[in-house]
Amino acid sequence: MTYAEVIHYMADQLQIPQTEVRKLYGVFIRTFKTYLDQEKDVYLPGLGTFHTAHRKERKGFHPVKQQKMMLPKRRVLTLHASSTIRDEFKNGRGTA
Amino acid sequence: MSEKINFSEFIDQMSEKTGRSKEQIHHFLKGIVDTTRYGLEQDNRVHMNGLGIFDLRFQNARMGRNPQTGEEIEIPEHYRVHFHPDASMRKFINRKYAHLKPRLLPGEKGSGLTLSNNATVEPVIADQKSGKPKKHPVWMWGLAILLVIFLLFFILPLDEQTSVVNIDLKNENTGDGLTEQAGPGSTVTSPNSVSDKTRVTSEIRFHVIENGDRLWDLSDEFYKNAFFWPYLYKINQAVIPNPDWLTPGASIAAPALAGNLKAMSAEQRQVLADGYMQAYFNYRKRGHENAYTYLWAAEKIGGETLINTYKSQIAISDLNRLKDMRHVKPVFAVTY
Repeated sequence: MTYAEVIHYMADQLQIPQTEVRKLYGVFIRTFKTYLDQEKDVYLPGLGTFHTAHRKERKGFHPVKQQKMMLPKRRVLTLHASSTIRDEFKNGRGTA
Repeated sequence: MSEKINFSEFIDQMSEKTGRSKEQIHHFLKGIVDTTRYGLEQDNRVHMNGLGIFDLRFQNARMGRNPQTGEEIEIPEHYRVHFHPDASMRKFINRKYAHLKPRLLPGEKGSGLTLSNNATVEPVIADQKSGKPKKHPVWMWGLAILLVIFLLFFILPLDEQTSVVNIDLKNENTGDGLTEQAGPGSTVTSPNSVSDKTRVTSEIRFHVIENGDRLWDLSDEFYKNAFFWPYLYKINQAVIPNPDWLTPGASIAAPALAGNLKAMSAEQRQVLADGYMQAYFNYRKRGHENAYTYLWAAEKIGGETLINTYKSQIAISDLNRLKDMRHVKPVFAVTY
């Protein structure tokens, strides 16, 4: 499902114009980012918790340059899926 | 563990920013979650712009331990919901570390360069044992060029022939053993009904989908005409739930087809027209903006009889639009 299809489906379901959905979606992403900036986890019921974690710098290998490299520390965003969605798709799609 | 914000707090914040009621925002956020579930159910995969991609991934069965009792248990095979953040999102959360770049380890060749600037490191392929870059003499280059020319002239034409899998299927009615050639400009002499393979003799290629493959490109490769992708879609409809997203690992069949419409047999045209029709149905279901175009193309190739066959399933608005456009002469002639 592409982003265009997501917007179309949501506009259909919520009975509001697509332009409105796009606007609200933009605010949703911005709000989401402000909380990530404050190092907070974001919980969406039915989907799960978005959690950020810090990864230390580590040794890696550059396959093209054939050299060992030190990869810098970084921050990652992970989803801890809620138990409802995990159970729903445990057996793949179309089985729930 | 960092602090987790409440759902209500999130709603309050959004409501404040948009000036909408909390109920409306709650409804909207629920819509986002429901859409994600719907997308996973439909395509295995949802792209939320600015956030990331959700998809289902298969996990093999493995042995685990009950953390409370310590006894070994087998975790059965299952699917899990996987999330991969968008590049923009990764960039955003890593703003603090944006100045950091991968650097060479001390002792490695070229490590005397600046630590933070990777651009000055030359991409040399160093010999692992000696640590020196390999030197290639001039005669070696000459030999390599000769080898490439040899390959181009002798090996590749053979390879093209062998890549086509010949499948001889007996013709029940006439029993003739005609074979057809795939490629542009070739003429198709015997009818090639793909839906009823047992009746014809044909050449079929099989292709295993890799990540990044698209029907458009595959059609261009097989038939030298990208506009014939609905033909591939129609034949492999069982393994292609969404023509815009091919599942890696799936195998698709590509029967031989002439590179232009005029050289095709009537039955091949029928399959192609049917493919356009199926593409229309799929896109209409998904709310694709250009769904009507595929209906239009289906009529151009398959004629009005095709439209009449599927009349009950076509959206009335599209049917009316098609009717209105029939008497309008196209400004530019469409050629395939």
